[in-house]
Amino acid sequence: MAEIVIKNVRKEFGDFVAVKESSFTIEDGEFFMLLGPSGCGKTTTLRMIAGLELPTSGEIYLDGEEIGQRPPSERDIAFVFQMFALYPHMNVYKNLSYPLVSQGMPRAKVREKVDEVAGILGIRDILKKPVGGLSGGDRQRVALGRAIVREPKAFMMDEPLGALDAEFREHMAEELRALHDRMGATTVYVTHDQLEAMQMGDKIVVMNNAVVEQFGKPQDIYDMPATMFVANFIGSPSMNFLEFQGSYAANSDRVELGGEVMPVPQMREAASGDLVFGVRPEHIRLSDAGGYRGEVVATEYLGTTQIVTLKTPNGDLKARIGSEQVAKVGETVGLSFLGETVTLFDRASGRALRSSLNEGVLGHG
Amino acid sequence: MAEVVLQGVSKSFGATEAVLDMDLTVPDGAFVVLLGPTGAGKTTTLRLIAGLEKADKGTIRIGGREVNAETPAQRDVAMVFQQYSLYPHLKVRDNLAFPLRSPILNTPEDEITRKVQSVAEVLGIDHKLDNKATELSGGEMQRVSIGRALVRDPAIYLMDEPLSSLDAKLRADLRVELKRIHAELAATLLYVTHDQIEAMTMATHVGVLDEGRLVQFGTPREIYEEPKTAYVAARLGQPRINLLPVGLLGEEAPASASQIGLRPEHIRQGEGREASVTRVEHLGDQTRLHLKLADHDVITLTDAHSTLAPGETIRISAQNPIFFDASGARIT
Repeated sequence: MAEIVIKNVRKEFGDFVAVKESSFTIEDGEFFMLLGPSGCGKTTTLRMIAGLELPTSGEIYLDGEEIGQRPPSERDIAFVFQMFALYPHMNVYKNLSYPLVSQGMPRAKVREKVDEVAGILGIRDILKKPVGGLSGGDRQRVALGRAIVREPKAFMMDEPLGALDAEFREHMAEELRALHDRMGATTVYVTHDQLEAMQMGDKIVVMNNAVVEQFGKPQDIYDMPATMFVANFIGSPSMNFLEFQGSYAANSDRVELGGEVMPVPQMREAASGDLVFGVRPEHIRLSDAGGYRGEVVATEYLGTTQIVTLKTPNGDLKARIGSEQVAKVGETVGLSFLGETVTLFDRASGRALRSSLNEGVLGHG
Repeated sequence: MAEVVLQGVSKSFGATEAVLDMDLTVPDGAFVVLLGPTGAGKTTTLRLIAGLEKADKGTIRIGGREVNAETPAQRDVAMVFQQYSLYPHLKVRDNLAFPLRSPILNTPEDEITRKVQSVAEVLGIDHKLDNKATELSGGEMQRVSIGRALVRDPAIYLMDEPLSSLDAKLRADLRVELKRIHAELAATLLYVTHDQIEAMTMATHVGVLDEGRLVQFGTPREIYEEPKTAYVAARLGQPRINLLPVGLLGEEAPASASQIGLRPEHIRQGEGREASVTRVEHLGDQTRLHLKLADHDVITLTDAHSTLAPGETIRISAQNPIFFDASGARIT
């Protein structure tokens, strides 16, 4: 089992910078998510950890040992790809045993090991079947099994569920996470799906444009985003951004928005100019009264809750409220925000401004 | 716009019964969403109405007129497919105008210009009218293909998963837009999807399909709150409704009940039966608790900042459970 430390790692392909100096630590036994839109550098980062790409500069430590420039075979890491690559002419048992046989493991030992892994994955009854006729889920399980039999120090997974339909995907995500909980192996997992990252990950790295935007626990990243990119990428609907012109002092706990005074967490740095008031949909309350007002432009029923889209003096906004509450399109309602959850951003840089809410998280970078 | 009525419609492909004895009414001006998993018969129903398939049995009426024997063109429907197919060498303007220039419609050119402009404005692509189709993003291309249906004034718009190839953010935007377009044009729309969010947020009526049969038809709220079967109950709601053997939570149940349905948000914490926490998922706005209760998996929701951890034990009880008999039918 393994701890993986990424230190100032950079990767260039010719003139193109795929990953700029990035640093983070994957602790032993963690289920670790690399999250971001396509082209952000997450897959390149994963491939560098696995040894499929070599960093242009920087170091990668596996259990304290620097392995950045070593070939994959010397890293003891297993890779699971998006498209499960199985040997089509072999049956399930042969697919699973192949990595062990090629290592020169005695046959009795191989049989024992394959049986154990097949038990973990619940595929003992299909060991004799050819892989050609298997369902998508079973193919996925066999591909995982091939990675597991070797007992590597860590698993690298590149969107392993990307090709599956929604319902089955959710089922496999749960299965994968349960498997991880039983085995406790360090896993690094690449995805562009924020819900998958939140649901499965112990920690998340959010990447954008070759840069690590934030690194931390899912709930911390959700509650205390370091940048507008992160705030927008995580959460559905995403955080609302109300743009305003303002200024406040370093210990202020209120700002003026559309002529109304709004409570915010106590700020730790002064700011002025083009600012953004960031509030999550579930932290907005609708009422008849209230000086800050918005017009309801759409409602979307979701069962227990509904999403209400409102036009405000500072831009459009989405609120999540109970579906028993009445919101009619065309009506103007009062809006209030849970001040202790608000994040203010500097609009030009997109950076979150430090406050009593987020200083603990932003402190670590 | 017109009412569309299916009566006793069946369609088989070889041994596969794709649609079975279907009675369905799409009221004039309604936004009906057919919801079901792959193979439930959604797309076949749509194609039967469009005239792309011929019904084995039953009648199809559009605006009171039986159309079984009519060609797709005679039926006066406009269809939007999952995969946008635009003419790549044409400008957006000409892609939108194309259906209006067909020999059947033969629209005057000034009328075409006016219609194209107004549809482009509704869809927010009026600034792209002189771009080639290939110069558009995926979302813009799908808007153009929806626009190609909207320029016409058909009896009904038929849409087959038009948003499924788009990314999540764009899908959310277009959901709101389609709903607004429907209201503005007072159009009749039949929309097919396996995405429950689309069904709940856009539909005036949802039809739930199961293996070629229409098993329930009603408003999204009726389908969510008053499902007629366990199958329907499991179609709407995320996380999915818990379906558990009766008596597991010590609730009072009708004698014929064999299963209870309990939405994750209808589980009260703090009293009742003991359940152990197996997994805690912090999703930001809410936390999902995966529980084990006497060998059964149960999912419930709790406060976003819950400190519960796997291995801990909590007490839970049922609030507003619904009951199903052995066949899965609701007991009321």
